Amino acid sequence: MTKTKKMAAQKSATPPQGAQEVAAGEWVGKSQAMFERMLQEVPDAMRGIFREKLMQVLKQKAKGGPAAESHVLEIVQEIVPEPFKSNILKAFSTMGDIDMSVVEEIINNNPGGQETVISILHAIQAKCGYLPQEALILVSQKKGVFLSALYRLATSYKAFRVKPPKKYAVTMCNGTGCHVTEGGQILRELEKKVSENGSQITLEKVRCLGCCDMSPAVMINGELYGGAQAQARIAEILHE
Amino acid sequence: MKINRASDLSKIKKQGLDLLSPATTRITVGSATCGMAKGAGKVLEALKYEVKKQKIKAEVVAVGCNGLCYAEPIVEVIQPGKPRITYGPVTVDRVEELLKSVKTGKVVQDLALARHDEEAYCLNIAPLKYAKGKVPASLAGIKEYRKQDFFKNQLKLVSKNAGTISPSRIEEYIALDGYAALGKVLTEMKPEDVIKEVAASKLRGRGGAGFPTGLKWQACRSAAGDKKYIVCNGSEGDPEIGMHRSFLESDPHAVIEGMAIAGFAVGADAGYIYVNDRYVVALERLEEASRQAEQAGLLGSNILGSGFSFSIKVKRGGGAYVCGEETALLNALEGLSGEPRPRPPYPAQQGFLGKPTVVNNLETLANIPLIALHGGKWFAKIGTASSTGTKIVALSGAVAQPGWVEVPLGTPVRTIIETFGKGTGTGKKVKAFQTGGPSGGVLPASLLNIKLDYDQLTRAGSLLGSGGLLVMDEGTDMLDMARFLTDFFADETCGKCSTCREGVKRLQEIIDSIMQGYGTREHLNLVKRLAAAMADTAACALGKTAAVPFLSVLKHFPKEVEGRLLKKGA
Repeated sequence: MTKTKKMAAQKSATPPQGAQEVAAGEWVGKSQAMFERMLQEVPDAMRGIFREKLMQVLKQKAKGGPAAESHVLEIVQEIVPEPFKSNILKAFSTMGDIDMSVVEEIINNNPGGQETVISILHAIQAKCGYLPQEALILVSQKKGVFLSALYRLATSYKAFRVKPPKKYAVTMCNGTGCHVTEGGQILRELEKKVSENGSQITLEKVRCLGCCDMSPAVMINGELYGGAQAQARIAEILHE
Repeated sequence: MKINRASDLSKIKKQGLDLLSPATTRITVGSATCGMAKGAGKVLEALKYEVKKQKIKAEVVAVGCNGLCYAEPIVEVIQPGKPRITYGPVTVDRVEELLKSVKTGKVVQDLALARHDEEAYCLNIAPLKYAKGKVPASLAGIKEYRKQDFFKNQLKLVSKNAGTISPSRIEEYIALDGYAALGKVLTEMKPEDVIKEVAASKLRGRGGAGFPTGLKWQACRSAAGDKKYIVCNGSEGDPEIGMHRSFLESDPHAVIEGMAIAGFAVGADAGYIYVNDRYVVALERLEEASRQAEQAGLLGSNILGSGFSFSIKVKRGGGAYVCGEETALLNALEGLSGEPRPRPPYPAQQGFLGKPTVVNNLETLANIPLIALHGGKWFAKIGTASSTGTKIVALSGAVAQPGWVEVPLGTPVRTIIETFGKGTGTGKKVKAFQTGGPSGGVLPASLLNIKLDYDQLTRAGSLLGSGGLLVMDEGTDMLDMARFLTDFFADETCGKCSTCREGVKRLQEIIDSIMQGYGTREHLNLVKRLAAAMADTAACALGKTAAVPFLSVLKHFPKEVEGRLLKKGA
């Protein structure tokens, strides 16, 4: 990590007192998370170009100062067409749900560099139920790890999810033992239900929950069920 | 209490023995995940509540798993001067009846599984005697555990404590000779001697490849560098295997002691335990155990006044099968995504953070205290000439009694399936079995007499792996099984090597086309060429062996594959 980057990371550790204290090109509050959220609405192939263009607009709006939340909002209001605009504004309204001080505390409790990141992501997911983008941005800033690298961890490891789970977070064992003992059938039923509109189930398939003696095994909202018990509980959820 | 000298261990040992066979009653509940999932938590609570309410002089303790997973929740009752009785499955509504029997000294006959007159698992350890004098007539109907098939054919060395001691009490681990090996090593042995003993034991890695542990340690010891690490591989990503989780939940101190000895032998002062992300209970118990060991002075700086320092950190993984591979595991520990590194350099030269590192499977490490205490020669006598010691084997799939057992290496697979698993439980015959997790070959029932031995299994086209044994009965469609196992690799490939990433996809497509009836002989030749390319070019064992399940099905069940090929002229 370069010295300037380190300084910037330290600065963002304390909440900004006034806009003047933050250097040009810095982000205030949730502005970066909002900016990133806005870009998510852009199709993948064009995101790079849009990022560049919108960043220029943002810099103009910020007039050499730090980018504030209000600046991002202005861009959304003025430039973005419907229905993207309402989608983004709706997403902004739910962003405040995450208590960033909790995330900050987690980061502070895990001193060190890159090797602490996976523990931090586990702790954030335990608190929030998933890995919110704002939280990932904060981890990226404080640990000097690229956001893209964090996103790679969050999506390549099976333990993490980047979207909030629905009412039932169902982790179905798709291990060999469960496959040969009716796990496949349950999985097909669940998949059918999940594909329906308004389904209240977030389905995750994992390779073995490590309790093959009670297959088929399934974890529902963190509770482990096996055998006949699992089948009964799944039936309950399916018929809700 | 802080232990400053090896001789202080005996005081704690006395305390531990008093806990294990107390002057009052001790009631234990098997509380590993396998038990908890079947309601052991509620049974434990109910027992504690009733004991308090009825003012029974008894201690209710949560212990680990003894391998009788099919009979969970398991409750054991130890009363002074009487044999230890194993009950199972004990549900909450049977708790009252059970406690009544504790008060009156009678036995609940229909729940009783086994009677232990004494504990004598390990060859050199003096047995822990429970029963004094003649066994009462009321207990005569219950078979002594050593006369039962399930226990008789096992040799519990590594797992001797599992299900007996409380995983959260270091005293109970010390009571059964725990940390005695560390004391011996630190006070009487030189690092070179420890490596010599391990090499003499011919212990081989219990994780998959079966690399001789002594050689690995020697390589790390002779590698240049002042900072070295010991990493315990507790990834256990193979599906159908849960015994290492059970083991960590039952006896975490065994792994910690093994790591400390390894650290002393290779000259490392820090260790990391990498635990599978779903093994939350194991993670907690390991953390608790390492804290206790530190408080007792068995970890930390200047252990037992020897000048040797060693600390352990427990790390939760992110959940990826490939992280069971040692270099991918090191990447995961460093906070990177789990992708294997090119070898050489081997971890013993450049491992965690670029420093020389020993990566050992947790079961390998749990063997170390036994070797250090009883000697490499003693260990080498167990098992076969090239595969020494015991192996914990997880039995799953089509078996009547799934669970895990510890057997000497060289035990025939048939014995394990028939004696411990009690057959398929479906009334059908065994059609095939697979050892070593998804990378292992699927072997036909005609090879059931094959022995559990690194070299024999490799010659037969499978591997010992980390000790999974999956049984398939005659209702199983072998091509579907091959497709399922190939799907597993398609899900779990990290994508680093193109032959693996693309190869498993093509393999899936070929199996699909055969299943749909479009397959030709040409396809089968293609698979063979593809498999050879993957084996040659993939960086880790995942890619190298991804085609093994299909190839072994093709080899041993050719009719099931060839019968579905497109007929000529069709």
